[in-house]
This record gives sequence, structure tokens and C-alpha cells, in this order.
Amino acid sequence: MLFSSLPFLFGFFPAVMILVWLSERYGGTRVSLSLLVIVSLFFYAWWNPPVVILLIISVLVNYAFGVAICRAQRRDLLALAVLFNLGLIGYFKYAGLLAETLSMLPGVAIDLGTITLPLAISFFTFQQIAYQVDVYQGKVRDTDFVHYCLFVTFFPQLIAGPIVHHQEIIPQFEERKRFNITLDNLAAGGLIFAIGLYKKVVIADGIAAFSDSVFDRALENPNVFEAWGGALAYGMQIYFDFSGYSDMAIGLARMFGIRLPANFASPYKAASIIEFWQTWHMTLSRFLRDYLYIPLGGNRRGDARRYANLIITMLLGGLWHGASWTFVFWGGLHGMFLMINHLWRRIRGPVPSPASPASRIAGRALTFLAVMVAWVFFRAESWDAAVAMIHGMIGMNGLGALDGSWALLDPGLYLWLCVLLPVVWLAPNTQELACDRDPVIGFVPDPALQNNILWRRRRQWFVLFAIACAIAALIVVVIRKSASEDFIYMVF
Amino acid sequence: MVGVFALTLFAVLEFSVRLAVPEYNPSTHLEFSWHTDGLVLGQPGTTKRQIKNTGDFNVEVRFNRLGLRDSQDIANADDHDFIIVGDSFIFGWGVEEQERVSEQLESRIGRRVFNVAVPGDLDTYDKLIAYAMRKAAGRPRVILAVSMETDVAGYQMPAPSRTTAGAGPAAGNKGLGLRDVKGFLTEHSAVYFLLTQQIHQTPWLRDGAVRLGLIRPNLQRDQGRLAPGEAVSATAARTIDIARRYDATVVLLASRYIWFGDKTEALSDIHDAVAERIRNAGVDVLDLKPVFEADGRPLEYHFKNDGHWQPAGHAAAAAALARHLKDRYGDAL
Repeated sequence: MLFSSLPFLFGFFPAVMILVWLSERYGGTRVSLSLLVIVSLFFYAWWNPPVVILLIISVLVNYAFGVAICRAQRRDLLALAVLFNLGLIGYFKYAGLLAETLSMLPGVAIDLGTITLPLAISFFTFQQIAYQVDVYQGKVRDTDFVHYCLFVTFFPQLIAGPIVHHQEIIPQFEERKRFNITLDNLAAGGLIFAIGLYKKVVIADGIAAFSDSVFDRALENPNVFEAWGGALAYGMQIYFDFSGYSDMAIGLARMFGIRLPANFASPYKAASIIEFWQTWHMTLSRFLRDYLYIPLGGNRRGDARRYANLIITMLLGGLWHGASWTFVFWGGLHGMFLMINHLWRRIRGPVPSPASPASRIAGRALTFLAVMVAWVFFRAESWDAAVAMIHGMIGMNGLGALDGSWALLDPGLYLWLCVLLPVVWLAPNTQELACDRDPVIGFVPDPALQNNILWRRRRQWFVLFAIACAIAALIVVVIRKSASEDFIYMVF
Repeated sequence: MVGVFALTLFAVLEFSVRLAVPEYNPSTHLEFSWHTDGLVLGQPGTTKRQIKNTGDFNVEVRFNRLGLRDSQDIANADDHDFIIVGDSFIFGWGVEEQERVSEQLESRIGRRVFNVAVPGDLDTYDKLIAYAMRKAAGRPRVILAVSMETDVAGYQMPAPSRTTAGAGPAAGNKGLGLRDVKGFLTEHSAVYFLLTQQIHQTPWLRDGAVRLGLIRPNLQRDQGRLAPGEAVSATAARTIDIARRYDATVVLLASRYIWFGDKTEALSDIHDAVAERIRNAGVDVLDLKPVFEADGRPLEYHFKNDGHWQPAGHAAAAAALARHLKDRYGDAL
């Protein structure tokens, strides 16, 4: 059940709100939390009921490991727990890729049949690995079973994050003044959710038709306008898809009074790749930094080791997104970009703060360009398709007719880009617009926003704008009768 | 404040509907805007949508390099092939290209059939045939489809419309001011299309709008028009002239008002009179009226809220035309 679907919007969510409010009022917090676990499992089971068993097994085993590690603080138990999680994700997500790759060797033929990829396995597995490490390091002492179940399954963040830490969420459920369905929370969460819903069903799903039309036929050698159009369209699609999802998750949680960590903060405004990864899928970046890059040695063992660690981290980050070598290449490309970025900072030396407008614009343009090129490998169905797209982007497939009579792309896309690019480059993001309502954990508005008229006057128009977005988004949802695209990140 | 909100809401809605449901965007709708050889055809190489707000159809229309709706190129047509010319019925108004009479006929007779139809009148057909003959490699055989609802009634086709809403035989609306506003919104607003769609497809809203005089159900508009005697004679003479020049097979498309409304008998008599005149002139004629009446449910070949043929109508016409051409040409087919 997608957040943007009719059953969720008009059935599941209102029913859950009413049930939780009633249970909180008449049964107490413990009953409410248990109820939330049950409805979250129901929410997950909606796609493919048998797969919920896997989620339950994963939760039970990890809980048992967590309790044991908490009591014994044994490193071998932690290793076993991590191994269990990696084994689970390895089998369901990567066994096919491994078999396919090995089968390319002469004389080797491995057929594993069809392995169903459980929804969001990467998210709940990584979240639980982080939990085991936190327990081992003594950061988490709470071993309450209901708390643990809810920490993993809380439906607003179950299918595509944010990847949360136990200590970020569970104390909020225990805090009476926070875990509370109030008009304030409903209004704040509802506004954020409305903006997210609009981003998803109107912008991301709308622009998807343009990117699909090029990427689905990438082997037909798109011309330079088609290839760039396809890449930019996908850049916009994934931006608004993930940004919309993150807003919806944050808004839904907030309606229960829960604040999730910030996950997305205008990444296309980044003036460097380092900044980009500080603002794109922030909770994944945090996970990769804390549980992979730093344990590998981080930047503590010299430059060469630091760059190697960066590349390894990003290669695995790419693999986390999907079982395909194009994802690995995408991760490697970003690792290389990060390495170049760090090298450049070292060569250039310290810069005045804040950086000059010219250097920020140049940095932003270069970063945007690099990110768009990398998205081609992320989106392409195959290596050959990605190469064909890159050939098109550098003009090797010709310029194409200047009158816009292209076979793979409706030239109307470029009009939409004229609207959307200024939005992603200049407009304040949802957290910033809703900052008076304390929307997420750890968010501090950019001081530069004081110069942004949209932000300074937000009190005058944000509520009206969000209501208009909600009406428009609901109309689109009803017209499409739930035929919304899946969230891009939910299959990771 | 209310005004600001209303404007914001309308702007957000217009933007949203255009991006999220591009088929509602009027600029993506079917239009004939390319002027060539005295004709107004589709913009070459473009793909448009033809969508009816009543929900009767939502189809894709691709124009080839010559501005015609045909995936085949008439430049390849030789003496053994056929071209079929006519108005919106033969153009395939509201049906996919492969569902049209021309494509179904082609599969039945094993000969290529090139569709050169666009909404128009007999003068348009004459120009279309000449246009096709100039482009063709050989001299293909001609099938001329005459619509009794528009061509014979002396109905002047309006200037080709940008959208489906105002085109074809169902066009027309009284009340100048309202019509102007509706026309503007139809051509420029996706939200207006969405709104009219919801009204047309929601019975109680549609009934209310009909009672208020805002809309009239399409099939109750004109109830058919009675052509004067001169129009009948002129139409028949013009048809005979074109048919003789190209040794064409004339296909007579019956008006649906022969079977619906308050002028059924008079219109049926006009139909028969035209058919007889053309036949008596020695022109090869296929009359589709008895074909559509054969099973006693002729209106079921048409859309519910639009006078054009559904795919079943195209299939019935193609079957009858295939039989007729086999009879006419025999082994030479």
C-alpha cells in the first residue's frame, strides 16, 4: 500500500489514527505501541503477505541477538548478528547477481530460480545492523520487545527510510507529551505530508513518463537532446520521488507526534559532491559513514587509505541500492567524485566562509552535472543502455532535429524543466518552510535563507500553498485511481 | 485572501493536471494545423491524443511525414493498392489506427490500403485524392467514402478544430457568450477538461448541468438536418464527378439520425435518393445503410455520446467493403 494510494489515504491511515487515538485514550501507551506494531505489519503484508513472515523472523532473531549482546557485550555475538543480517540480504538480494556473474565463467551454469526480493529488505536490515552495533557499543540499553518491534516496523519509515537509530525514536514513544495525536501535530504533519504527496503524485510520477520514454528505448541511440532530456527528467523524477517520500514519511510520523531524522535537504543546491552526500539520503550517508567508512579506518590512516575507504564505501553503497553492476558503477563513480573533491580541497586550501557567489554557482553547476551523468548508470536497464545514453549526451549520436521532432522524447519536457530546475536550485525545502513547527530531528535552517523571499514570507503563503497542493494531489490520485508509480527507493 | 487562494489553487491545479495527466492538456490534443496543397492536415511527425470528455474514447493519433494518419507512406503505393478517402469516420475518429476500416480492410483483402482521410467535405476529398496521387509511386485505386450526415446535408464543416470537443458532426452550441468562454477554456485549460469530464461522467452532475442549460447531450443536439433538394443533387453530382475521374468505389456512410431522432424517415429517404442517383450514373456504390441495419441494432456501431463509429462499426464496414471489392475486381484484386 503506497502512501499515495487511495486505500492508504482514505482507508488505512484514517483508521489507524482513530484506533491509536482510542487506544491511547482508553488503553494507554503500551496498548497504542502494540497496536502500531500490528498495523505496521499489516501495512507491510499488503504487498505480499507471505513475505511478512521474513520480516517477523528478521525482527525476532535480531531482537534475540540484541538482548544477548546487551547482556554479554560479546564481539562474537555481534559478528554473528551482522552475519545473519548480511546472509539474509545476501541471499534475497544478491544471490541472483552472484549466480549470473559466475555463470559468465566458462563451464559454470548456476540457476537459482526466481528469488522474490522482499520489500525494503535493505532498509530494515541496515537499521537492525546499526542497532546491534549500538547495543554492543552501549549506546542502547533498552531491550523492551514492543519497543524493538516498533523501532523496526513503524510504518511511516518502514519501506524506504529514513534509517533511524533506536535512541532517536523509542524515547519519543515513551515521552507522553510527544507521542500524542493533537491538532498541532495533525496540522504540522498534514502540511508536510501534503507537500510530499504533491511532489510524488504530480511531479515525480508526471515527469516519469519523459524519462521512461528515453531510458526504455536507450538502445535506439538517443540524440543529444533526447539523451540529456532523459537524464535530466530522471534527475527530477528521483529527486521529487525521494523528496516526496521523505516528506510523507516525516509528515505521517509527525501526525503521531514523532519526529524522524532529516533525510533530504535540497541536494541539488549542493556546491560540491561532499555537500551533495550530506543532503541526499542523509540517513543512509550517516549509516555508511558510521558503520562502514569509519570502521574501515576513515581518514585516520593517511590519504591513500582514506581515498580507498571512500571508494569502497561508495561501491558498497551503490550495491546497497540494487543487485546490478550498473549500481556498483554508479557508487564507484560517486566514490571517485568524492575523492576528486577531497583532493581539490587539499590542493586549493581553505576557502573564505562563506564562499563567493561565483564559486558557489560554479560548484553547484559542476556538482549537478556530475550527479546527472551518474544517474544514467543508476537508471539504465543495462550497461549497454547506459553507454548508449552517455554516447547520446556527448553528441556521438548526433544533434537531432532542432524542431523537436524526436522519436524518443516529447520536447515539452524542456518546458517542464524550465519550471522544475529553478525549484530545486532556489526554492526552500519542506523542512525549511515548516521550520516553525520543528519538523525533523537535527534540522537547522540555512542562514542564507534570510535572503530568500519565499522563506521570509512563508507564514503568509505556505499553508495556503500546501492546501492547494493537497487538493491538486488528491484530484490526481482520484483520477488515476491509485495507479501511482512505486516509490523508486522502496525496491532497494 | 479568498481571491489569492482561488488563484493559487487554480494555478497549482492547472500546473498539476498538465504535468500529472498530460492527456488532459489541450496542447496535446488532436489538431489540424499544417497547411499544404490547399489542405489542412496534421503537423507532420507529431503524435497527439484524441480524448472525449464523456469517456467514449482516448486514443493516440500519429501523423506521418505527409500530415496523414497512416503508418504507411503513400509514396510506396502502386497500381494494385487502394487509397481510401473520407471524413472523420474514415480518419478513425475515436479509434486506434489499427482498428480503422482501412487497416481492417487491408488484412481482409491482402492489398495495401492507404488512408488519406481528414475531416472535410467533398472538395477536401478531391484535393486529398490529388495530393495522394502526386505522392504515390503508381496510380492506386480509389475508395471514396461519402458521409450522408455531413456531406449530403450541405453542412459546412467548421474550420478544423484544435480539440476533439468541438470537431466532427457533433459540434455546435448556442449561446454566444457561454460558447466563447467554453471554447477558450476547452482550448487552453486542462482543469476545464477535467471538470467537464467529471460532469459528463457523473450522472447526477450531468443531469444537473443539462437542467441548467450548461450542456446538452451530444446525441440530442440536432436530431439530423434535412438537406434541401438542391443539396442532394449537388452532392450526388459532385460525388459522381470525383468517382468517374478516378474510377472510384463510392461508399455511402449512413447518418445515425436515420435510426435516431424525429426525422428518421425523411433522412432515410434522402439517403436512398442519393444512393440511387449515384448508382444510376454507373458509379460503383457500396451502401452501408443495409449493412448496419442487418442485425437490427445500427446505433450500437456508434459511440454512446459521439456519432462516430466504434471499432465494431469499422469492422462491419471493412467486412462489407472487402466483399464488395472482391466482387468488383475478382481476380484482379
